[in-house]
Amino acid sequence: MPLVEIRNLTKEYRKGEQVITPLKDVTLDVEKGDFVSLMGASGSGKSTLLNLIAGIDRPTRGQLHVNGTDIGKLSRTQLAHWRSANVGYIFQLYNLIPVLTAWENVEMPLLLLPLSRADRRKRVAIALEAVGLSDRSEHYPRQLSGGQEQRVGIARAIVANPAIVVADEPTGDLDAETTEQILHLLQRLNSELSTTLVMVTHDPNAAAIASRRLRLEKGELLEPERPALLATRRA
Amino acid sequence: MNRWLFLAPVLFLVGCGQSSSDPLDKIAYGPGQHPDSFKYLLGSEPADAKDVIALRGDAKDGDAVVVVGRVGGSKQPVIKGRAAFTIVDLSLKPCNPGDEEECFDFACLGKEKVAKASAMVKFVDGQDKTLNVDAHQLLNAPQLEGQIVVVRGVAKRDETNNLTIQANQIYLRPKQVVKATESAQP
Amino acid sequence: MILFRLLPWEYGVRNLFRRPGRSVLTLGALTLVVLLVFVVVGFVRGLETSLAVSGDPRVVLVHSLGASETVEYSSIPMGHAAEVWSTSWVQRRYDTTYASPELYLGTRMQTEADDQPTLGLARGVKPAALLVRRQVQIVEGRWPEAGEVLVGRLAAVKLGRSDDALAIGKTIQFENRTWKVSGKFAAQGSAFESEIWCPLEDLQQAMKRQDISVLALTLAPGATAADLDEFCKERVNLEVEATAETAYYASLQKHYGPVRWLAWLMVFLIAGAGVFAGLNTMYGAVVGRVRELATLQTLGFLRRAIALSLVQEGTLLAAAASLTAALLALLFINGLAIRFTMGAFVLRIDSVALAVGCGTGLILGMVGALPPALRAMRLPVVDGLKAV
Repeated sequence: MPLVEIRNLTKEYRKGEQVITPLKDVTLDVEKGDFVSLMGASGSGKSTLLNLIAGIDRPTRGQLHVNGTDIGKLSRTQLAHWRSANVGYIFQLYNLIPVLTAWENVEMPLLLLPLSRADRRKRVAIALEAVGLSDRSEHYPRQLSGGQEQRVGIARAIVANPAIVVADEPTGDLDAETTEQILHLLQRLNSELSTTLVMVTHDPNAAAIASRRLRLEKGELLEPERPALLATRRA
Repeated sequence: MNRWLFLAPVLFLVGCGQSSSDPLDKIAYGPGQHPDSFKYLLGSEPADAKDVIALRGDAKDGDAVVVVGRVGGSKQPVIKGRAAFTIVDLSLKPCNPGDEEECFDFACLGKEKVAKASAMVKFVDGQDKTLNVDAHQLLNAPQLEGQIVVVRGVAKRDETNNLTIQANQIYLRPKQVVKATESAQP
Repeated sequence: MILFRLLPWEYGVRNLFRRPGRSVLTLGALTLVVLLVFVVVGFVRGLETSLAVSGDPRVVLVHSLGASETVEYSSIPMGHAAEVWSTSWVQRRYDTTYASPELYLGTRMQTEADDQPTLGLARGVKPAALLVRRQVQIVEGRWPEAGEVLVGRLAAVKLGRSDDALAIGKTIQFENRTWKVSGKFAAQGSAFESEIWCPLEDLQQAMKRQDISVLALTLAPGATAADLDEFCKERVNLEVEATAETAYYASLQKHYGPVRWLAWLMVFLIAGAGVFAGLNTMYGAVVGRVRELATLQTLGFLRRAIALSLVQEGTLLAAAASLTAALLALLFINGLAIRFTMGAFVLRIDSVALAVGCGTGLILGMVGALPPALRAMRLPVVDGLKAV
C-alpha cells in the first residue's frame, strides 16, 4: 500500500460569490521512501496539495490516505495528534520559535509524544548531529545564519521520525551555496534514512534532486516521468 | 363590605393552618405560626379596652386589664429574643401625621412625653419570667412595630409608677380594618 | 487531568522578555492598577475593622431613649445610670462593678501648635472604663489625673496634626480648659483610637453638666443584652434603652454602606482600565506572532494548549505586577492613617485586602489575554503560516 494515496482530491473555497478551486480531481500515490518534488507556477495548487498531505488543510472532495489513515475524516483535534506523530514540516522561512534555543526548537515535536526526557535528549542530539549543528544547540535562532536556521528546521522535522516529511520551498530564502547544502542534506535524508519527502519548489535545480518530479497546472497534476506506472496502479 | 370584615376572624378560626385568599388573614395571621401562638392570639377584638395613658392613671398592681395601644416608643420597641415589647397610647401622633405605622418611635415628641404614654407588655411563664422567644415569632407578626394591639392581662406597677402588663391574650388589629372602620365613621 | 500536551513553561516566560519595553510598560500599568485596588480595598477594610473591632459582644451600651444612633445627643442622669448598673446582669468582681459611665462629645480642640481649633472627640471616663473597654491599652505614660488627658493612637490624625502635637507633657485646649497629655492608648484599631479621654468629673465640671451620655456595661456571665434592654424598657421612667455594642457599631456600619459600594465600584472601574492595559499588550503580542502560533499548530500543538500558554503569559505579567503592588502597598500604604467624620482609621492591607488585590491582578491578566488568544486561534493554520 502506498504511503500517500490520493484519489480524486479536490479543494475548493469561497471568495465572496466566487468559488475558487486550487486543486482539481488530483489522483496520486507516493510510495514509502519516495522523494517527490512538486513544481508549478504560482497558484497552480502545489502548496495546497502539500498542506493537504501534511494534514493542516482539509479537502473538499476525494480521498486522502496517509500512512494508512483517512485523514480527511479526522476531527481537528485528531488531526493535530496525527500530525505530531506522522508529519515533519520544513518551512520556507524556517519558522523557528525565536525565544527557544536550537535544541529546544528541535525538541518541540517530541513534547507531544510519550517519550521520557532521556529519550528526547537522545533524539534531539541525533537530529542535530544529522544536520551538523551539534555545536550550535544552545544558540537562539537570531544567533544563527539562514542556512543554519533551516538546518535546525530540518532537524525539527525529522526528530520525531515521522512517516513523511513535507517541505514548502525549503531553499526559497537561501543563497545559492546554502541552497546547495540544504538540498544535499535532504537528499541524504532520503537516501540514507529512507525518509519519504514531498517538496514544493520553484527551482528546477532543486526539483532535479527528487526521484519523482511532478508538475501542477491550474490545480491539475501532470506526471510526465512515470505515467505508465500510475496507469498500472490505477488499473 | 362590612359583613365580610365581620366574618374575617371567623374565617381565620375555621381555616387556621390553611392558606387563605383573604388579604386580612395574611396581615395578622400568616402561615407557619409558632406552636404557642394559639394560646395568646385572639380571633376577635376584646371589648372595653382602655388607652395606655388612662390605664397608667388608674390601674393598680394586680388588676385584670384590657389595654389598646400601638407597639412603639423607640426605634426597637420589641426586645430582641424576648416575648416583650412596649406600647404607646394611640393619641400620640408622629411628626408627619399618618406615619404611625412607620414612625412608631415618636422620637420628635420628646422622650418624656413618650415615656408618660408608654407601658410594657410581656408574656411570662409560671415563674413570672419573660418567655425567651421573640415576640415577632410568638405572635407570628414579622412587622409588629407600629401595629395596634389590644392586650388582655394583669397590671403590674412598680415603686416609680411604671406600668407593665403581663399579657394573657392579645389581639392584633388588622391594619385595613382600622382604616376601613375609621373611614366608615362619620 | 490534562487532556492535552502543554507548551513548555519557558516559552511563556521568555516571550515576556521578547519585547521588554512593552512588557515593562504593561507591568507598570498593571502594578499601578493593582496598587489603586489595594488603596481602595485597604480603605474599606480599615473602615470595617475600625467599626467591627469597636464592638465587644459582652458589652452593652445604655443611652437615652431615641439616641441609639447618635450617642453624642444622649443624656442620662447619673441616678438613672446607677439604677441600671445596680442590676444583677452587670458583671461584678471583688466589689468592683464593670460599669463605665461616659460623657462623649465632639468638640473644638486646639493643640499648642494650632492657631485655629479643630473638631476632635472627647470622652470623659472613670478608671472602670479600662475594665469594660477591654481593647484599650495604655501604651505610653499613665492614666490621667485631674486636668490631664489620655490620647488615642490616632487622636492626632483626627485633629490633622502630627503625633508630636499630642506627645506626653504637651497641652491641648477644649471646653475652656487646658489639659495636659499624661499618656497614650491603643485600642486594637477600634474607633476609640481617635478619641481623647479625660476624667469624667473634670469634663462634667468643664461643661457644667451632671449627666452622662452613655453607660457601657460588661454583662455578667449568663446575662444577655435583652435582659438589660427589658429592664430599661420596663422602667419607662428611666427614659433609657440598652443596645448591644456590636449592634450599635453594626448600625453605624450601615451608614457607611454607600461608601463601601462606591469603593467597590471604584475597584471595578480601576480593574476595567487594567483589563485594557492587559488586552493591549496581549493583542500586540499575538498580532506579531500569528505565523509562530500557526507553526506550533502545524507541529501538532492543540489550539487550547496555545491559548493556555498565552493566558499564562498574561497571568505571569499580572502576577509580577500584583506582587510588586502588594510589596509597595505593604511598605507605603498599610497603616496609613485616614481622617473621617467619625474619627480616624488606618488603611489595612490585611489578608483579605491582599487576596482581593492580587486576585484582581490575576483576573486582569487572564481576562486580558483570553480575547487575543481566542482571536489568534480562530485563524486557519494555512492562513496563519502565510502571515508576515
